[in-house]
Amino acid sequence: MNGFGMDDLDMKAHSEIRELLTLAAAGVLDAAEQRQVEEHLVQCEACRAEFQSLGRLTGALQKQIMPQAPRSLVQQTRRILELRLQAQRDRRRSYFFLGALAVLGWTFTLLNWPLLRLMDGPLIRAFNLSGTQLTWIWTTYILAAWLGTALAAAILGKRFQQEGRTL
Amino acid sequence: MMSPLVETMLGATLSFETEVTRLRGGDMDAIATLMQRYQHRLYRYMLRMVRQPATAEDLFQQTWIRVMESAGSYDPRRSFERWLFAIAHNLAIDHLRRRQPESLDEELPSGETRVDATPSTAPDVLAQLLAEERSTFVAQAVAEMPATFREVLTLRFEEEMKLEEIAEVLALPLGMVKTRLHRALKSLQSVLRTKLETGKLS
Ligand SMILES: [Zn+2]
Repeated sequence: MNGFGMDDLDMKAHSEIRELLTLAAAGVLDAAEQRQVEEHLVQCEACRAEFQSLGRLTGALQKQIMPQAPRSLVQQTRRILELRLQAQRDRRRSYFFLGALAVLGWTFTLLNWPLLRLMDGPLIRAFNLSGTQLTWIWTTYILAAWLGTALAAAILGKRFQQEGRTL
Repeated sequence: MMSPLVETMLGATLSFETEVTRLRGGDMDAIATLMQRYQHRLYRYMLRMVRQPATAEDLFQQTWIRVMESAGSYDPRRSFERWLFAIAHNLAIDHLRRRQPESLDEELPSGETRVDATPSTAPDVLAQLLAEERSTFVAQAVAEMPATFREVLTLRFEEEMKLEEIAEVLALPLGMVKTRLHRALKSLQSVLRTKLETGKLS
């Protein structure tokens, strides 16, 4: 068929060696596979020629001209990274500040509780309210104040984030 | 007594490990040192993948942003190089998928089967050309191949990675990497031969 008078056994070994031949030229075979290829190459001229051709190809691939990174690339990238890191830190600081503000607001409303209770007597008399009703009113007032503070902090945080500004 | 060479090498390894550890803490100097060390290799890999210098630079920067962002999850027992190239690989593939989905195909040129069936023993003009070290046309032919082929060829022959390393970077089983490398080389060989026969080689 190809003028080398190979018998069937050879042809079989031949086709099995096909992938190994390329990988041998790429230098990635383990010892056993390498030996298998070498043994076949001794008796098969066709594969020998193919192996040589592949070897030249891989040699040319290794000898390719290596492009270098542009000189300013590392510096540019570093600047981008530093800016991102700074923005990250600023954002974290803003969130911390807003969190502290919210806690302060909550503590302040909570401290109002005894003051509010002082007004219990006059209010009960003026509006004819029961003690339980008044407790509900004060609790609702405090909860609303807390929610308002949290909402204000969230809105402020969002705006700072959008503007990319720091506090 | 250690020889100065051994001392230098040991020093380099030690400082490299410190850099990788400091990297986990988000240290900018550590990242800059690593960036300096890998700049040419990473840039070259990106250039081979996307072929446009401006895009390669952009993806280079994105790779380091990703390195900085995920530095906390980096396991120092893993090879930094493979981790870095795995990040680069993901970004490059994402980019190619967005821009030119067809370039990812592993379609083989029609000449492949013929070349693969029986090796030719006719005087190999290609061999002569390759022996003359005219490797520019090899680079040209590689640039025209599908991205998956370009990638496995650059990782093996330019980055000089072992099969296991390539498999880790590409997140593929070893067998698939072997097949891909085999097919890439056969395809390149056949493309070069076809170009030679049709006189399209410049
Ligand atoms: Zn053979």
